[in-house]
Amino acid sequence: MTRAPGALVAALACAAASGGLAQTTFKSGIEAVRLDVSVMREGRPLRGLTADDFIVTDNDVPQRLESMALDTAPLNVIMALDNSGSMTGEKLAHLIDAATAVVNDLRGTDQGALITFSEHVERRVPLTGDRDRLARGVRALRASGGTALRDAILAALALEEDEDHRTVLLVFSDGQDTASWLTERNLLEAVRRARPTIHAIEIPEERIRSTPPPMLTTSPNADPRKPPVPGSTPLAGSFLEVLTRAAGGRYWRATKPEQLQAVFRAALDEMRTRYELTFYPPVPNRQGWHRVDVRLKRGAATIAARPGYLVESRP
Amino acid sequence: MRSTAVVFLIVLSSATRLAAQSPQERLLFESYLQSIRAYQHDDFDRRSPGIAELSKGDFYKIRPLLQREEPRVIQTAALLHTEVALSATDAERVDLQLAYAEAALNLLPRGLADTPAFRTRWYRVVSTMYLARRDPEAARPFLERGLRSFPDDARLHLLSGIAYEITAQVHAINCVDQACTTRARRLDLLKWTGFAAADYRKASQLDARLFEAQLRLGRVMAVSDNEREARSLLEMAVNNATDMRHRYLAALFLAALDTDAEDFQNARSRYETATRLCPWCQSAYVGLSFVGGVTGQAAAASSAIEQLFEKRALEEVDPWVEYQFPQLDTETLDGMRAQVRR
Repeated sequence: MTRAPGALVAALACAAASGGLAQTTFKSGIEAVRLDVSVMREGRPLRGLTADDFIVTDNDVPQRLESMALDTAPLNVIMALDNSGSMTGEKLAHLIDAATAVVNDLRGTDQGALITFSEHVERRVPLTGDRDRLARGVRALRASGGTALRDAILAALALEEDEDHRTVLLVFSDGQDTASWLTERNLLEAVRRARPTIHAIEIPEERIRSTPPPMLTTSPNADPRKPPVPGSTPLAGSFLEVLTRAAGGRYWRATKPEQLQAVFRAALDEMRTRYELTFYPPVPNRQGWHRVDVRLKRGAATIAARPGYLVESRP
Repeated sequence: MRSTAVVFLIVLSSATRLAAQSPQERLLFESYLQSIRAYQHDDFDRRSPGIAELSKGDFYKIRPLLQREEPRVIQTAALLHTEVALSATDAERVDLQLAYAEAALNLLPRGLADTPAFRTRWYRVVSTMYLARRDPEAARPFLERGLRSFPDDARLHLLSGIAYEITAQVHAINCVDQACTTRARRLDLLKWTGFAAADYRKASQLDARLFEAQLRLGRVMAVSDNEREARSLLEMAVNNATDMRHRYLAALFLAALDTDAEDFQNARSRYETATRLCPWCQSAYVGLSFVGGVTGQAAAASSAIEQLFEKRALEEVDPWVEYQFPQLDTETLDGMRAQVRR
């Protein structure tokens, strides 16, 4: 999808200069805005692009860009994997194979972490470069209980980062959230303020669960009084799809467990073949939400990037 | 299938009067009584075909003979069929066994002092069985019949409210998460929460110590634009409830109200109260982390999640999960079991 200006009005994001590969904090709160951008053409990453190939606008104002290919930047890959009761048998076996493949494909300076979620969110392996430990954690997965997907994503976002790596979340789930305290609205708010890019892989529930209980299609913590968060509407499709769009990542849908390994590998490949676009807004920058649009000057492509950033007042 | 079972019960009452007692029927009944005795001695296999696969026709034949037995035998028969229903996996068998159980209950002499209590407890157990299966629609007919017979039973009103609340939750979430833009959908939500609120109010009036009714009424008020009443009820629950889980949930719900009002300082304080009430409960740490994040305190957000990972207790169920997924009322069921086995 090439994002048309305004198409994702206020979908949540922030590309803050307060973290990442290099930063300086100004009193205004934002010095440089760094965008982690993926460009795909005909299903393949488009390589070799430079700043001159992009047009980026901040609230419709074109920006002067710097760019850097991120294919050699070390990654922190935080896997948040669904091990709820519906993940038993063949599905779990394929998930273990797929996650193990990701661990094996990590490069020398990359790190990984493993969070799992049923109704309990667990940190199985903290951020580490120890692939054996990660692989053991993956192999120890067992399925049971409900699904606290949103709570797990928040927990993953709150993990300590380190400044030398680019942090990405890889979320896998096979169904609807059944146990989270956090609402969809809450999580989108949190994502708007977080830095990591979120990628998600899903096997749609209807293909897996024969008879989803009525309550499992709900998240009872939602508050019907408030209007939906801009950019989160309409949520006709998967929430994960909306979430990844807000977090500048990609969403994959597998139709069979056998596809998981290929999809997980494609996700890791996509994480590497991205660009970092940097621009410098005026200081002081206007507080509030800034809508950012990224396009190519020439040719059609599917671009994924956070749709904006938030400038908050600082004490 | 459920309507078939009801028709069956109607036909049953007339068939009963006509029933003759052939040697085969006596033999059938003797086998039935053996199952009852085995159950009384806690020696009954729920999969025993004599009960688990009992046909409607055979039950027609048994019923008039059962009516002549002592009340305890009739109670045991009702409980026996309920046990089979509890362990059955196909809906048709569950419906049929519960129809047998209810038919047996209706044989109990009305004048007997124990009869109302036993029947009330049965309606509670069966309702929670369906609520535990996330099927409020299936629980509804039992709740209605129970409340028709026992309109002043606070717990049945509470269960009826929970069934409505579950239905309302489905509407609420679809409404919010799929961008509630239609007035009809919003009204639909208010309708179900309104029904739930009426039942919770009634339950509270009937039993002021039933804090769960106050708690749930507070929650329902919170999601249907009655913030002031919600706060008042939840404050009452957080201060007075005797069950830690209810106090925890009240603190959690108040934190959600504060978060919605963007009063993050109070929200944090509520969540901290919740973590003190239940140090291993996931939901409060998640809430605390969220509040830390939206107030720009990344370290506090991370710290809350660290605490979650350190203090979690995987063998325990978070009260928030219990709230959404009511469980079978095993306490009442155990009491009934003990009663027929004593």
